[in-house]
Amino acid sequence: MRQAVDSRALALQVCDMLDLRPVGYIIGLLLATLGAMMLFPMALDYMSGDRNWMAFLEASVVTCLAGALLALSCANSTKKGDGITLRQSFVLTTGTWVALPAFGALPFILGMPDATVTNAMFEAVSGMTTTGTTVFTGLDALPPGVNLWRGILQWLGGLGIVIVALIFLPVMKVGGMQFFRSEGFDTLGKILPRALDISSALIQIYIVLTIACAASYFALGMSGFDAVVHALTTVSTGGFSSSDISFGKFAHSMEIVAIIFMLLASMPFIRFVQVTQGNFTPLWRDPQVRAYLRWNAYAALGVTAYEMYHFNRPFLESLRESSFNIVSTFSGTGYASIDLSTWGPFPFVLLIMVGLIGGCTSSTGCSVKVFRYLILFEAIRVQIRRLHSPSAILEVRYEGRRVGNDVINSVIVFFTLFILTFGVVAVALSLTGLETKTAFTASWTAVANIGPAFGAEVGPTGAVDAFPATARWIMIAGMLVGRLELLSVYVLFLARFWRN
Amino acid sequence: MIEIRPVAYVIGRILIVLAILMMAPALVDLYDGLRNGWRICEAALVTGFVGVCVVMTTQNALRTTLSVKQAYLLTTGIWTVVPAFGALPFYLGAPHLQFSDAYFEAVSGITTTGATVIFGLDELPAGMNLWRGMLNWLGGLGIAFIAMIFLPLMRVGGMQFFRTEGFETFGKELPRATDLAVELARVYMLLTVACMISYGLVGMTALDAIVNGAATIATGGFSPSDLSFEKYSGAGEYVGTVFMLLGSLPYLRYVQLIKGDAKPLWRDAQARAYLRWLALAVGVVTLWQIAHSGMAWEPAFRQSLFNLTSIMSSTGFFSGSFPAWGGFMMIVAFVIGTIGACSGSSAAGLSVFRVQVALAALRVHLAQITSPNMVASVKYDGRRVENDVLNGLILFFTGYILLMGIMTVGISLSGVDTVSALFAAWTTLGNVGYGFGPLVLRTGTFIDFPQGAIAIMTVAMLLGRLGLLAILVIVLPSFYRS
Repeated sequence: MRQAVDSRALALQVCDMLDLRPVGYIIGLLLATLGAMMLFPMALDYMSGDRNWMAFLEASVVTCLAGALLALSCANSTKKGDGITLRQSFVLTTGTWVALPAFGALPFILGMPDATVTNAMFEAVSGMTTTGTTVFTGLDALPPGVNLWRGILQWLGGLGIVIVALIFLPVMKVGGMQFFRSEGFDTLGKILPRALDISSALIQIYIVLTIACAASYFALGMSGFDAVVHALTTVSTGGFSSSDISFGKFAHSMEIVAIIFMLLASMPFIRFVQVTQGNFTPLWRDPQVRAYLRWNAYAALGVTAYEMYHFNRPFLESLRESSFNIVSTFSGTGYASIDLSTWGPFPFVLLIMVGLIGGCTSSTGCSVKVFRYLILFEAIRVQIRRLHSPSAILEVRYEGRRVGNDVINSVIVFFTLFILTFGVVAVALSLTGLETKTAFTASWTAVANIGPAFGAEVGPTGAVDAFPATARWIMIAGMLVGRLELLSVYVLFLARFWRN
Repeated sequence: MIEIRPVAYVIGRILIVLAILMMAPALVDLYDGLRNGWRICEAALVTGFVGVCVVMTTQNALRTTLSVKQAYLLTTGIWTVVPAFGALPFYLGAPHLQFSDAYFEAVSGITTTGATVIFGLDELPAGMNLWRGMLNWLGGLGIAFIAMIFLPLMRVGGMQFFRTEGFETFGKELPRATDLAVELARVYMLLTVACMISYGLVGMTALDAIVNGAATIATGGFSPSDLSFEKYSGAGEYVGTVFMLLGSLPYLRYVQLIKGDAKPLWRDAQARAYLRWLALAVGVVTLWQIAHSGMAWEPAFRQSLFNLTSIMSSTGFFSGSFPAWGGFMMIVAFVIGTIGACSGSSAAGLSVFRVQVALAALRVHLAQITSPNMVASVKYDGRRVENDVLNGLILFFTGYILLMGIMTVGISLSGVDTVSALFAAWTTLGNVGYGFGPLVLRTGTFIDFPQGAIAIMTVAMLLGRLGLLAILVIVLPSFYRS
């Protein structure tokens, strides 16, 4: 009896401490939007006379209904103008990236590829996290609506992460992002109103970039459909392609367009907002952008030199090939134009390395990010100097601003955690029976959200459908954790988080 | 400007000792009636001559204690110069290696890595194998001194945490250092003799027992046979496991043990975590191998116990079919080899201590994200870890990972395949000595690696041994400015 009372008191307490209704409300609205987006592929399939449109309609109805119900049941919890708390935003980000793919996977189950739940979920998570690893083969033969839906998932995922990176991560103090706090937002209470301002500016830029990209592809000779799908996945640095051979299908001039837009998509979007306001200096002066472009150039030139020296390739051809594949990996996109395993050991290892660096912060790019490496190098330099002049006062500076100790600590913690996660996922994958190289690169591609995996178990088209189901679920977890910058997910697993 | 004469003087003295020690393998070979003995004598002569010259020219320079900068220079100097002379027997004598390979072999010995470029060890003159064992042994003894005496003072990688345990201030260092050094040398000798006798009891030949014994306690891993411990599978592996473990626990605890206080060893947070993690790895790999290949449990357990201990203690012996198990085992090996054994022993790698503190820091950071106003401090072993210790340590951690990546790129640039390159960087930077990958599989040695890779691996071994920063500091130009 006494125990029963205790547990009820406990249950009350649980309700009391973290109000999940505002979170449910926002996720509900997002789901409804997702359901509405499903009407695009439905229309495409209907027009091209493919019976697959039924699947999208069903999925759309289910998703919209679920979203609307969720939103309605949580609606009266938020007073107008009220923000959400720090803890709610943690639940919100992870909740969004789990709930949306779950519904985004529906068309794959109900409709054409007739995927299993595992495969459909894998594909949807790989889409929403802009990873780009696929479990489907025979992409060219799929109904156009399915390929469009894959593109839309990535596009939405890319947009989502830019908004999260600008609005939520700085206040969550994840991985040193608090350094950018003053640029984005000041305090948590103002999140929602100011968020809407910035979001609308971001969405405009994102749409403009996408249209420009699609138009360039189209102008250079892609079919209208391919141009749209590839533009959606280029600007989101996603990497899904509507063809099994990815960019191998298209003329070489497409690769150059792709390089430009992949680079643009992995630069800080906040700088583009400033550019639209007529201010080019911040973009030009941004140390992150500069370092990113510089490192890309070094890597591409290094590979070019290696290819020319070892395989006697002509300069321009190998320059184009290496820049495309380096940029594609560096930005976390994951297109391929050639079979990368024939590239020789040095380019391959370099590819792995640049994948572990990743794009700039507050872009659609993934992985550790250039910003954190810059801080890390600076901190190491200061530390070494401190070793032999112990009494000197040295501080870490970035962009001329002093970097606080808490920022450095979170950057280092992030880096350590990234390596640990990478290792744990690799161990877990190899435990499912994958061989060492496959487990290693699969962990790399999942946690850093890149796209291609290498090794014996990977199919000839780069699909990972031959992986054991357990391995695919581990990769799903890895992709989610990697996309949401690790800490914002791990926090949810602390008992302390749910206590008051 | 730094006064380098005291540094040169100490190195000169060490070279003279090295020359005298070279006479031991020379005598063994001469006793066997091999002409190789005279080649070693030549090497000893050259080493001794150079040593004497250096000592004569810098005589009496060591009047005062060393400054911090001199200590940096000295550690790096010893570990780069001594192997250059230690390599002479390999260059002049029996395997007639080219100098870069000989230097690799000597560096591998003196850094207690144990990676070898000599194939056909069983046919080598006994003196050469003895010399390899001696290099391992001297390197292990040397690093135990350095790790306990110099590194804490140099504040390398958070080692200043151990400062109060070892020595208080720099001024008092030399007098107290000699005290502790004597104790340390005694413990080290005792362990070595015990190990050699045990090996003899399980049936090793005299030479094998001596060389393997020296290489075990130093966590070195040079073996006088291409088969390494496969030659003595069974009891030999169990005995080897015990002594590899003993060689990779903090030596300071043994000194306390000899003084009659067993509690610090028993209570040591680092030693406990080390044994716990190792047991976990062995258990998981054994189960995996039994489930995976249907191997009988005893050989599966014995081989994973011996090999994983060899990897985590950064020794580098191998036995049985273990290196070919592949899959899950290799990733576990990669992880525990990167962690390494306890700091304050002759083992290398990140060290259990640093990983423990890094994990504690992670936990505190996660807690702070949810409750930003909480004041929490990182604790290790009940003691608060100061901010400067934490910074140094975690930057060591990240620097280590970054360097491993860079080394892998470098090694793969010389044309080595990816898996071999990654494991080569892993084995040299962590001073493990164990080889994995297609390029190693043929012989179990690094003989098939191209010269470029050998050079990078030599640098990696030195960096790993001296705690990265000790060397990196010297490379900076500002080190030489005053």
